[in-house]
Formats: sequence, C-alpha cells, structure tokens
Amino acid sequence: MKYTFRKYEFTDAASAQSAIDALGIDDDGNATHRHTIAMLGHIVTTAATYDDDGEELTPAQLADNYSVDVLWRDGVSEDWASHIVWPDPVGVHSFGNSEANAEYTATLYALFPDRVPVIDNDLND
Amino acid sequence: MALIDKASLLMVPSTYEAGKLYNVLPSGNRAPDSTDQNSGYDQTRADFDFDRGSNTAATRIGSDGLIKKYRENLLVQSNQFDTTWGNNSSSETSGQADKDGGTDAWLLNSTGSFGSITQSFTAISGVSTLSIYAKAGTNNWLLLRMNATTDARAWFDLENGVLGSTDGPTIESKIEAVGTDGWYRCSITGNTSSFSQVLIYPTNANLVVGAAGSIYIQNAQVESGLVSTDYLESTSVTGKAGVLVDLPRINFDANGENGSLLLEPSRQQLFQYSEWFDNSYWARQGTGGGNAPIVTQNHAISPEGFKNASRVQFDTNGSTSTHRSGLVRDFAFTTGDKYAISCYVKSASGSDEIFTFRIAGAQVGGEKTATNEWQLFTETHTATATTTDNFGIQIRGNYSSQTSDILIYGMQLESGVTYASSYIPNHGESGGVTRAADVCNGGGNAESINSTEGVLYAEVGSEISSVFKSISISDGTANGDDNRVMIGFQNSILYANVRVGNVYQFNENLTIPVNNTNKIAIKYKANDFALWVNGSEVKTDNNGTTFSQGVLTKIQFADGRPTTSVFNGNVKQVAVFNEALNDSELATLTTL
Repeated sequence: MKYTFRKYEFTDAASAQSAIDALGIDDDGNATHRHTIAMLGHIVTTAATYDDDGEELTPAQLADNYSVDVLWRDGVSEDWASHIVWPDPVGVHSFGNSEANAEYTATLYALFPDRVPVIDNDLND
Repeated sequence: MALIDKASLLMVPSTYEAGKLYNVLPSGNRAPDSTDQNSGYDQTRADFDFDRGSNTAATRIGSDGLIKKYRENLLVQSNQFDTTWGNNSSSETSGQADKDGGTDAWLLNSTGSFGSITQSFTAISGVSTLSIYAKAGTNNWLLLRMNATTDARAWFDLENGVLGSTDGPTIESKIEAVGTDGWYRCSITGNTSSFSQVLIYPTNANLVVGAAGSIYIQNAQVESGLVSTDYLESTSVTGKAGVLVDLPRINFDANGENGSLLLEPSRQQLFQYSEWFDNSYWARQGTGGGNAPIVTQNHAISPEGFKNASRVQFDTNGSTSTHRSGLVRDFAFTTGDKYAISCYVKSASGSDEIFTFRIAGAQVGGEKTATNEWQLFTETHTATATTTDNFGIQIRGNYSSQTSDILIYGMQLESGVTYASSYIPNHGESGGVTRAADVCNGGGNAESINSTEGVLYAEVGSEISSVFKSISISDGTANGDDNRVMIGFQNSILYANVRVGNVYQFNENLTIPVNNTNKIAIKYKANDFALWVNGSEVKTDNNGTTFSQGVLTKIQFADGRPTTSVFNGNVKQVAVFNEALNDSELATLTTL
C-alpha cells in the first residue's frame, strides 16, 4: 500500500518537531521526504461549553500529550514506533484518504479485537 | 509548421490517470523494433509521476462549473442481494421488473416479525447517507436502519410516497419518486458514531420494525455526506468515482472554462462540519439584542449540483453595531496566527444580500454582496489577540441592511496560510481534515531535453507566497539545482535563471501579477539568454555558457531537486523546445 495512516503522541511540540526533522530536511529546512504530516497539537478532550449568546461557560480541556498524524508514503518509519497511539477510528483527524482510513481501522481491530464495535443484533431495538 | 510542433516535450493537462500525467509530446508511440515487434505505447517515455495521498479531502471544479468530489459506495455487491448480504428471517429473489424497465430489481420477502437483510462494513463516523430504490410489494412500508453506537432509523410509505418517522441521530430522510411505476429512492442521512451495518426491513406501518410480507428493492448505497448522489454500482469491492487518490485535478473556473492542472500544497480544513450547519457545532448567535439566525439544512441546490446548500436568515433586530446575528464557531488562537476563511454564498431572496466574515473575533473584509449566482468568497486575517473567539459569518446592525437571507455551502477555515485553497469537505472530524499536497515530477528524458540550447516554456499562474515556487529542467537528483533552467515565483516576483555547475549564467527577476495566468519562456544558448513574458522580451544576457549534452533529463514542478520549492498554482501548459527559438517565435509563443 502506497499510503499508510498512523497516529502518534509526543511529550511536547519540540520533541515532535525533532522527530519530524529526523525524517529529512535540506539545507533550507525543506522536507526531503514525501510523507504528509499534520501537527495536531494538544487536542481537545472535552469541548468548551457556551451560553445562548455564545459566551464561554467552561473552557475546553486539552490533552497533555502533543499529537501528530502522518500519512506515510511508501512505508512507515520504525523510528516512530515508540510514539504510536491507536485511538478509535479515525480519531479526531484524517488525511481524507478512504483507503488509508480503512487500513488504519482494520489494523486497529486486528491489534485490539476487543475494540471492534459490537453490532446490536437486537432487530427490534 | 505550427510553432508547437517544434516542442520536444509538451504537457497540456488533458490526459491523466491515477499517479500519471501524460505528455502530448513525446507521443509515446514506439516504432516497431528490428524484428518488427514490440511497437506500441512506451509507458516509460517522459510522462510526469503524480502524487496526492487524499481523495475525500480533495475537490475540483468540473467543466460543467460544478464542484466535483471523491465518491464511494461503501457497500459491496450493492445490487446483488444474495451475495455478501445476510438474511434475518428473509429471502430475496432476483430478476424482478426494475425502475428502468429492465429486470435488475429484487423481491425482498420477510418471513418474520423483524425480517430484514443486512450488510456490515468497516465502521465510519460522521455524516453519511444510506439510500436504496424501493417499491411496495405485499408490504407498503420500508424501514432503513443505520446500525451504529446509536442507531439512526427512518420509515418510508411506499404506497403513498411520503415519509414516516425517524429516530436516533437522523438528520434527514427523503423519498423521491422515480418514474411512474411506484418506484422511489429512499434515503436516510445520519450523524453517527461507528456506523458499521445497514439493515433493510420490509414492513407494514410506520414505526413497525419489520413485518411479514415483501417489497421490491434495487441499488443500495452508503456514502459520506448529506445527500445521496448518483448511484455507484459496487461488486466485490466498493464503487469509487471522482477525485481519486493520486489523480491529477483538472480544475475549471466557475463558468467551466480555462481548465488547468491544479497543484496545491497540503492544507487542513478546521471546521468539523463544512456543509451541515443546522447542528450544535455551529453557534447561532444573536448578541446585543440581535436574533439568532434561522438555519434550514438542504434547502437549495449547491455549487455541487445537489440539494445540500443551507439557507441562513440573519436578523440583527436593531441598527447599532452591537446588534449582531451570526453563524460561528469558536477556536483558540494566538496573536500573529494567520487564517483564511472561504465559503460559497448565494442570495436566497432573489435580491442582493449582505454578509461579512468573522475571523478570530474580528470583522474582516467589509460587507460582501451575495447575488443570485453562487460565488466563492474568501478572506484572510492575522489574529491581533490571544484568546478564544468566533470564526464564521455574521451581520451587524450598522450595516447597510439589518437582515440577510443567504444560501451557504462549503465553509472552510485554514490556519497558517495567506490565501484560501480549494474546498476540503469535512463531515465530522473534530480535529479537521488534511488534504495531502499535489506533487507532479519526473517528466522528461534525455531525448526530449536538449542540454546545450533550448526553451523552457510555462503557461501558469502561481500562488502568491513567501515560499519559493518553481518549475525547472535539471537532472532531477538531490543536487539537481546545481544544473538547471528554472522559472520561479516568490511573493509577486518572477525569477528566471540558468545555473551551470552551481554558477549562474543567467539570473533575472521581474515583478508581475504572478497569480494571473502568464506565458513565460526562458531561452538558453551559449551567450544568448532571454526571458520572455506575455509577448515581450523583458530580460537578456549575451554572456554565459550552457550544459554539456545529456545533463538535463527531467522537467519538474520543483527547483531541480524533487521536493524543494515545489510549484503550487494552476498549470495550463508546459513545454520544452530542443532549440533556441528566434524572437518572432518566442513572441508568438508567449503572447496572451
């Protein structure tokens, strides 16, 4: 498969950037690889709440770790393996690649069979 | 002989497939060899390789002026209900009279209270639509069920062609007559989590979950988005169409004219719901005494050609700047953050209507006028505070009108950018959807590029960016910028240079409207260099050397190296000539 979608967490933005730079940059700081990387940052774990006028009642709660999504081209870097995470499909973000999303979902369920959604077989429900 | 016949390599973005953008020249028709065999098309000749790792996140404007998306029927065997589909106290019989006068329909017979057929698939979340063609049999009702964390269900009266009840996270159900023979296309749209199974029940009344008896069915489909689009037949694999992964995008203007290859950088759509506005994600604000806007989903035909545009009726209920009516979403931002917002907008009243964009809590761009034609409006802004505030559309009481009645579609927010890119649909990903970059490289070969003299020609419009964008001929290696002929763009400046052994032989620049489509040619020949733009010779240099034969072998939408200073913009034509054209020819070639 040409494209592989995986998700990662780092302790902070600097460590994420360091791992990204290690994938290859030229003298001008341009990436020399063909992967697509989205630095999601500290993602929202609990959404903010607002009143009827749109004024914030409670602020959003953010994750401690720094999230990075990667659409790998022609293979996944094993150097990132220790940072991989497997949120339920497809987490909060994707690269809009239906095949890569499906492969992510299939791999997740193969690794964690207990997380396969249980289909409600109660036909009268 | 036409001038273009002199080209040794010519790319007009018209022939392409996934991963490949074909050149018109060289033709690729290989002559028979000495054994009079092996003639035919030479796949390895000089075509460009093309990458874009996104399908659902990429769109283009088609030659009909409508937005084109990736489409996929997530069901397999979509009209082969005796394969892959499962039975719950039911059976199916093929060869029934269908909606088109053929015999491709199926009789679905329920033998028990909850008789149904079902298919499971890889779970998806967000806004999606299940549709099927159906006709009454001994039963007059159909129940469609999207089995998910919380199910969405809809009942359809096939005798009278009217909708029954819905429940769960259903956004909308539809029943549309097809012909006059009692067939209907029935659909349910839901915003679900872990939607992984469809169930189709013949039934006999509203809210009854299946009943003994039969209905006729044909052509089931599950797809992302708010509406059912044209049916895509699937077999053992899902049915796919439209903007596929790695497929070059030929993009037209809103009139369906001026087709060009669209090359864009990676971008992220931040709005979670870019087409569904009648939900709690979007705050309908009435502040300072203003009224909250009224949002009506799927009210009108959108720029996509489907009835999935929303009507938004604003009313400030007062005439001061504090009276506001807005459709917005809050994001946290930091001083200096750059944003681009875009949205397709049209008047819903038949008369001109106004609105403004709100970015990072600021009114930007002034009043905009929505007319009776769909228009793509864009605006950019740099945040001037560090806080959380609104992004979206609103009107204020001190505007030229205190009410506005508009249609909207495809609202998009991109951060860290200075201009809006093409539309990226998002049907539910809270952290956004990222479209991977278009990368087009690797065209040409030693036969199609003369290293000692020639012309590099491009008819292109570049994005305006502080990041360098370029088109070049080189050896295409990691050090390819050492030996290259390059047309480049940065901000509003056109750069043209010839570098031999990392030494500039010709190096000029010119301020032009780079985002317009310009016709640009660089002539390179020993002691004879020139830059032509839009019919005029604008720079010359009569001192310098060129390359040894065989050095230049690749044409790239980059600076000579494969991944550096990648070109972003619209490409109408690129050509290489194996000889230094004369002034008359260059004038003809570059005249608009």
